[in-house]
Order: sequence, then structure tokens, then C-alpha cells
Amino acid sequence: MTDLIESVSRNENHTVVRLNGEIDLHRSPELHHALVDLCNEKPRRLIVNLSKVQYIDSSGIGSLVDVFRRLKRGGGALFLVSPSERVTSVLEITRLNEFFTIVADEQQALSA
Amino acid sequence: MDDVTCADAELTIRCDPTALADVRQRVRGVAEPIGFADQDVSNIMLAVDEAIANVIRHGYGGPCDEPINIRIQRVSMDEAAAIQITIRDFGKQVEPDCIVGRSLDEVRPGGLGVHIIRTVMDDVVYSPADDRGMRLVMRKKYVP
Repeated sequence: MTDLIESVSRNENHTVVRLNGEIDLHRSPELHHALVDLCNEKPRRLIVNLSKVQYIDSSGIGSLVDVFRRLKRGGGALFLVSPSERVTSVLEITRLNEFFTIVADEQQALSA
Repeated sequence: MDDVTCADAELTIRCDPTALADVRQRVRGVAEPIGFADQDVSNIMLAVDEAIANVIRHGYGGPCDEPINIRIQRVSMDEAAAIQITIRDFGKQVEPDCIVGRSLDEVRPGGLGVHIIRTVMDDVVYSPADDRGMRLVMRKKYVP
């Protein structure tokens, strides 16, 4: 694991990745690479826990959009879990809060 | 030109994304004493971050050793306190009218930075700077 990727847990249907820290142009390539690797495992659900992400910019948001599209092409789904107020604000400014499936906790993503 | 007070900040960074976290903290250091709420401080940091990221990606075409000058000031705007951030680069010049945010109806990665900057800040002015590079001056008014 890294400073950014706190943990990854998998079962046959879903993958849960917990992120941590600040995601900007410096860190987003690492995020994108890690999430694309997880996409390539073809989980039915990729659950990205954002509760410990204190900051995200458009490069980080762009990584999430790309991952969403990759998953969808393979029949999978992306869930964003518990984004902080700051992350939610960026999603609202870019109107991507209307695009992503955002849930309050990981259990909600697992049972959706 | 406004005077630089002791609370203001001037810094020169290299065209490198590793500098962004430090710049954000410098923005916070000027914005918080003005009285901006935490969410506004975050949004101002985001706008500055996006502007510098655009310089790195588009102005200079990627990380390099070229400089980016940043000035963060407390100023007056419509008789209210405001924050003004000036970002000067020495990269590619662009016609200011061409610097527009893209439509949000198309969902795809990239192209959101200018939209964020113009949404968050009250006043955003791009201009060609002397013989090379661009100058961006953006301001946000403090509303108690």
C-alpha cells in the first residue's frame, strides 16, 4: 500500500479501495494507475472510499471519470463512498455529483 | 500595483506538480486571516491549483525547470476585503478569449480546470505577459 492507497480488499464480486490524503496533479497519476489495475481485474463493483480524502482537484476527478467508463464498458459499476465536504464541493462544481453513484457507506454500496 | 503587506505571499516555483501542496498552504495562509470560511478557502486553493496545473500542462507542455511566479495578496474589491492571486508564467501565449471552460454536459476526463476557476472566483482575467507567457489575475471578495 501507499500513502494514497490505504487498503484494497477483494472478493469474487467486488473490490473495495480506501484512499487517503490529497489528490492533485502530483498524486493523480498514481491514483489512476492503481484504479486502472483494479479495473483490469474486472470486479462487478469497484467501491472507492473517499472518506479520508481531504482534497481532490480536477485531475483526480478525471481519473475517477475514466475509471467509471472503463468499468462500465466491462459491465461493472463504480461506487464513491462518503466523500468529504470538500470533495463533495468539487463534485458539485463540476456537476459530477449527478453522474457518479455516491453512497454513505461501504455497506450501502455492497447491497445496492 | 498594490502594496505587498506582511500577510501577503510571493513565491516562485518550478513547473512541477510536487510544488502544488505548498502553494495551497500559502494560499490558505493569506485567505484565512481575511475571514473566508473554510469551504471558501478550499475553493480558492482549488482555483489556484487548477490554474497552476493548466500552466504546467498547457503553458509549458509538462513538468520542466521553468519558473512560475505566484503572488497572493489581500486587496480591496468593491470596498470589501478580497484575495487576489496573480500567476505569471513564461510559457506558451494563448489568446485570452480562447481560455473558456468546456460544457459540463459532456462527461469525460479533463478540461474542467477553467470551469472550476471561473465558478469559484469572482473575477478572472488572463492576458499575454510581455514577450512570452501569460498572466492570470483572479480575485474573490470576502462576503461575511
